Amino acid sequence: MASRTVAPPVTAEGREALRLSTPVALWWAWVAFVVVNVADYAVQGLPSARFGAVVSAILLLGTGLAYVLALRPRVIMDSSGLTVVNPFRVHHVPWRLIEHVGTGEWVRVHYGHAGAEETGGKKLDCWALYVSSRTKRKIARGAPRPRRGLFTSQRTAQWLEGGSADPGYGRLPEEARHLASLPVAQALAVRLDSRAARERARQAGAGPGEAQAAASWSWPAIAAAAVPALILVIVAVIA
Amino acid sequence: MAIVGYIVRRILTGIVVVWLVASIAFFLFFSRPVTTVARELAGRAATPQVINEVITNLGLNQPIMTQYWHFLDNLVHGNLGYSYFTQESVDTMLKQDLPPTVSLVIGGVILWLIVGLAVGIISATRARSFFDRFSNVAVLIGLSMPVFVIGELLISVVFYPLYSHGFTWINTGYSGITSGVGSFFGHMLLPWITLAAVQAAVYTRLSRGQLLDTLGEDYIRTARAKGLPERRVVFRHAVRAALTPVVSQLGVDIGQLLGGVVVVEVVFGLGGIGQVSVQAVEQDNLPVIIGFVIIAALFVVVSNIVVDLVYATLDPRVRIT
Repeated sequence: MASRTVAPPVTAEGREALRLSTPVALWWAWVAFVVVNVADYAVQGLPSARFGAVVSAILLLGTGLAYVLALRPRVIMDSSGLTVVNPFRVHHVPWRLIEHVGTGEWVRVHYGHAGAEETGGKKLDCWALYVSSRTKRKIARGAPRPRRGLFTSQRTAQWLEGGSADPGYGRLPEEARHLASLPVAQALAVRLDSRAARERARQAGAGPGEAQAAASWSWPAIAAAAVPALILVIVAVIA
Repeated sequence: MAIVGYIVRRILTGIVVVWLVASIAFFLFFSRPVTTVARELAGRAATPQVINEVITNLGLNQPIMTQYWHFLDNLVHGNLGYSYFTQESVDTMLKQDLPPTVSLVIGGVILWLIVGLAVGIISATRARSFFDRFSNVAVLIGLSMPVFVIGELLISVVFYPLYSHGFTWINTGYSGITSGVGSFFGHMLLPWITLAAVQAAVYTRLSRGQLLDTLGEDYIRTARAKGLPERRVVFRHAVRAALTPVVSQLGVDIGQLLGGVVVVEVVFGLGGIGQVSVQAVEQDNLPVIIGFVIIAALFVVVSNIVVDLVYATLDPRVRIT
């Protein structure tokens, strides 16, 4: 990692934030759970002060963890590069340093040093774009081969395989059809990869420039998890 | 090192899943009107005062969230609660009833994997032979036979004739492994065969289909063209690739089996958690139901972790990195 400076501010130009919907849904489910708890105790009262303190501390810790692990992580694309917001760290990698975006346990950005003959071979996992075991299996299996059924005509089978010569307004373009057939995480990796390739090509004509990857700790995120944990420990010890 | 991180992550995710399942089960059962359970416990002729007393004794008059946090507190301390009817600890009930079910599931799985994979591999490598056609018919019969029919059939065709001639090794009921390995196998043999009969048919069909697909792949043709022995082509290259969907299916099946073996448990009088959980549902015995739901969720989580690890071993493309 080049330095521990704060990632450069992003511009609004071509800015796009990517994240999966499941963690966001989990965050809102947790928020609903907290609201139900608060409403129930507001209406029916608490059995004891100790009970209220412990439950409040647990809810606070849960909210902090849900924010840090589910709501906060995202990947932001803009004209300057890729900003990867992980639970406790923020990474910024300029487009020209990105070699390839693939999948592992997460969507993984492979990048190197600017101007180096041999690439550094660094990897950066995007926490927001998690690749589940099921998705990994789908990726490994590749696109399913359409099978010709008992009542499927030769023409339909050809159309299913995408080999039909008939163009049609109802048919998606080849690239869109390919992306739609991929699991979400892989489709996002392909999108990030193709955007990186486009930006690299665009910036290649601009001549050599200073480009460095940057990473920084996010203290608010650390505080969001650590402070409630500390409060819970104190409450557990005192109460 | 990557694999340790992966297992730790999966265990943490598993804990969240079990907590979610436990919470959903809790709210599903405990948000109902509390008088239903209390009336059943107090009896038909109970007065409203008695019913109220039962509700207070069970703590069902407390706010639902207070009950929930007490439930979670007990859960974290390994206490699953007490049966409403017998006042027996659910932990003790699980200790008693889990061994027959786990023995049945593990033995059944091993048997159906051996039979299902062996028949599937032979059928695929000798497609359209007499053995293949015969196994196809056997699979159809296996799939169409309800489990209790196979169980009753084995009892009347195998157990009774042997028992009446003084051969008492094969028996019904459950005998723990601590009371002798021979006796344990004798008691479990027929239940294992019953459980394996249907599932072996499913796995035969699955492995045969997958292996036939894999044997038609280009890399198998290349392996044969390179002069590799057929045994090596089949077992080293084809079966390994064909096994991956079978492993996925196995993870799902083992998780579901825990609650699904109740028929076999009843037919052979094994006891087990399937039988007890059905009884708990009939009685509205909420702590027992939730205890068994949590154990079933744990089984699913653990079997999925194991399946993912086996999958990563079988298929280098999903290797954990």
